[in-house]
Amino acid sequence: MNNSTPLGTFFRTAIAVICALTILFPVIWMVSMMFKPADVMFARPTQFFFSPTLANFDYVIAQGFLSNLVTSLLLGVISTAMVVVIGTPAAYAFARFEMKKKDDLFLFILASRMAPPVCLVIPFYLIYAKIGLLDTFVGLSLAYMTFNLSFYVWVLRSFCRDLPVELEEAAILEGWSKPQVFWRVVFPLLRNGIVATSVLCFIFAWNEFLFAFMLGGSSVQTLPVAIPKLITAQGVRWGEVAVVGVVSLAPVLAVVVLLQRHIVRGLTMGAVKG
Amino acid sequence: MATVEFQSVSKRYQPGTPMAVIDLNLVCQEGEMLALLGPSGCGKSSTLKMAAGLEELTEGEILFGGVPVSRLPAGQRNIAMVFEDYCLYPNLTIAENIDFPLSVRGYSKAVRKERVDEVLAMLGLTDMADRKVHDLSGGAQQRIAIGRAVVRDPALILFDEPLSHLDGEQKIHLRAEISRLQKSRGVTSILVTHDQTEATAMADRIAIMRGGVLQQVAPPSRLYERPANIFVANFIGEPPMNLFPASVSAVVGHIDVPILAATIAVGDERRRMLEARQTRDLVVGLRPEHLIVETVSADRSVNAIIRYREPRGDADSLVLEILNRSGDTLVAELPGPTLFRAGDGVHLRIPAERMHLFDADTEFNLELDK
Repeated sequence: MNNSTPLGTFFRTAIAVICALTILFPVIWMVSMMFKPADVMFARPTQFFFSPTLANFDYVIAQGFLSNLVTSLLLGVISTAMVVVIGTPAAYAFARFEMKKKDDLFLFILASRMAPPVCLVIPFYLIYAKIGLLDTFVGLSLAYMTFNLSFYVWVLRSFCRDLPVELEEAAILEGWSKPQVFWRVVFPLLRNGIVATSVLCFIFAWNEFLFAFMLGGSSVQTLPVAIPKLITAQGVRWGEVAVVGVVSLAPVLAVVVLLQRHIVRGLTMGAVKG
Repeated sequence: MATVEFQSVSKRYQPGTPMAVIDLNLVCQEGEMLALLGPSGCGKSSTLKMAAGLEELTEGEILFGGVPVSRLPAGQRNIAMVFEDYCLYPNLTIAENIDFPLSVRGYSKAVRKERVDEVLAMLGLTDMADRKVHDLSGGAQQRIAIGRAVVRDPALILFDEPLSHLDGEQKIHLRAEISRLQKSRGVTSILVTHDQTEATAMADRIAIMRGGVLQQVAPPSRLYERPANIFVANFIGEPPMNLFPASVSAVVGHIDVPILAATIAVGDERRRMLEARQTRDLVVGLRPEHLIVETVSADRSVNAIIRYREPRGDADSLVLEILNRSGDTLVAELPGPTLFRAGDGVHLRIPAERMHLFDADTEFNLELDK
């Protein structure tokens, strides 16, 4: 195939555009719905040009969705931060230290991630009900942490294994202690891996519905749990659903775009050697 | 500066696994470059790591200048190490990498600057001091790693396969540079390598290990001339020594060599030695460069055919098949280039005085104490 003919270039570009549009169309549709007045929402034929309104935003704000947004953000950030603080040394230990039954223990940790979440949510509910963590922010962030921790440790262990152990030995020979070596040599070198993995943890916490619904109750409502509020007796408020949907998408996109460099490097590093 | 002494050192990584190092007794003299040489898994790296304090000893003791150090943490042993894959910190510049051991140990700013500048000048890296290290060539990175090792004037430098990842020219260049630095600073050094050329070129003495057991410690020339056993004989020298079975002949003062279908006179001294040791079964070793290859038949020569010729410029290696029933082969090395070609018929002679005689059972050199 000749790559340089104008016709070939045209066709390939056309195919790329069609693919992109197919994938992006639902998003574009959602964004346009966000600004559509109720009367043209489902007008036939579809109106692509209309006078935009912010009425949908007003309703969403009036319904208290801002506090749901804050809850979601805080839950994501705090549970992910806990995962990083606890999981990084754990992953390092699994990668480096000799211990009895290490592989069995590792598999056991991973097992919690393999079970369908539905199986875990009931014991979680019963335990939380007993110790009073039901409907609390702390309870939900702990649940997300335990859930993400196994995944995080699992992925980050392969990053740790890829680090040459000699870098640490060189520092030990100069008299550094193990914790010093970990924080000042290993941690900086793991940065890409930590960023890539923790972004995935954040996205998981951000999108999660089942645990938030069961354990958060009415006092800790994340965005995904709050969306059903828009299914009213008068019908589904599609414009408002679109607003919440786009807002839910925004942080994920922002994180991925901002940290793109780290994520791509981190994911490829882990993927190749994993 | 100090001597390093291994006293009955043994290492086992996990209970139930084979020993990595078995009862090692070895002394590295002050200012000496001692090479630990052997195939992979022979225990040389474990030995080095125990000296460094990165691995604990299972048994025995290591002494630096007569002081036991096996309970001392790595950081207090005053040693430096040069690693196979350079092990520089990618986020630091050349100067910062060299400065690293000094800054960790809290030397004053003035001392650090002076020492780092001196090392940079010594390595010819002054102009590049502020560059990051990650896009430098392997040879350049390893030179910086060596600079990092000497900057603190340690009592002992451990080289762990320092040249393995470098290509030919850089290897030879750096080999000379390490030797020069080591000698000019007079720092006791241990070099771990699996490359005999490297060990022979750099080390004052070579310790050959196999399966965790020390085989022989000697200067390179001695290893070549008087290998302690069959393993060392086979390991040192390129191409490796020809080894073939023999037995003490019924004819007094002779040995029978089946693959040559010949009986060879060994001389009075060896006859007495063989009688004293009451050895019957032998292994004869003959270096490829000592095998005599001729185009005309001579007294006691053996017919052979050249199966393969490997021209190497200044020398030719010939793989020779002896014309007997079993098709045994020997390797000869001749000053080259020769006019021989594969398929040529030749005549071989074995100079009796060049033969090494090993006991077939114990594999020891029968004449080691000579």
